[in-house]
Amino acid sequence: MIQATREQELTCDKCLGHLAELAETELQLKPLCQALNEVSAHLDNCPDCAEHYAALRSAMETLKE
Amino acid sequence: MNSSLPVRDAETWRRELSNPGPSQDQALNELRRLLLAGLSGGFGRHGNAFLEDIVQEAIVKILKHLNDFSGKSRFTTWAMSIAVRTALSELRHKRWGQISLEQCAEETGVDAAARDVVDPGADPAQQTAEQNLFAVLHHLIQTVLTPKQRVAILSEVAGMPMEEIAAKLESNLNATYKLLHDARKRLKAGLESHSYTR
Repeated sequence: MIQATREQELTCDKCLGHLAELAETELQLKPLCQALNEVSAHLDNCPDCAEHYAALRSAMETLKE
Repeated sequence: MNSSLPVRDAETWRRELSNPGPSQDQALNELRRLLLAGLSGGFGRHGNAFLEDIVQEAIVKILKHLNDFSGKSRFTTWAMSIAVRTALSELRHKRWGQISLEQCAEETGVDAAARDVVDPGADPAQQTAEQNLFAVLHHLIQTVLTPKQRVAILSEVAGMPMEEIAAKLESNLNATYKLLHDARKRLKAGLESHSYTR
């Protein structure tokens, strides 16, 4: 986590604001835009937001079943 | 999405949820049903009462923040994200709410982490290298971080969620993230000055 620290990072608040968009984009296999790449990088280094994202994906997949 | 639910666009959701009356009641019922169904997969093991409470709380937040919906995702995905966050916050608070930052940092600080991470089965040279790294890290934590950063980052390493750290610091998520990000940058620079790079 320390070595992966970047000079500029998204905060959790900003990341959480993009998770619904990221989940839909990934599910639709659209290429990630720059903003979502930053969200993705935040998820690599933030277990809380990564847990949120996994749970959101799980909920969306549950609804699709 | 579930084919048994009517297809509504975001504007319809927002309009119907905003205006009291039969349309609002119907939209609320459909939203409740959708959130319950979505949460049942990942959170179902916590029981129906938990799910009902979470959905109720999430709906209050959704109604309060209707104007914050930006339209970058479907309305229902946005709403589900709020419900997921509500569920995770509740579970995290149950798990960590009674543990102080100081207690968490002391019991599972970098020394404890070193004991867990240094592989007793590794060859002696590797064990020595790992022990040296933890010694440097321990020194940096004591010398380059503020007391607040120190206790927060040790709690984070121990697994305490950021929102719980923020609550215990009587701060918010944004400020706590910045506090921890600055701490990580200081530690990273310190490790690099000791020739530890990735």
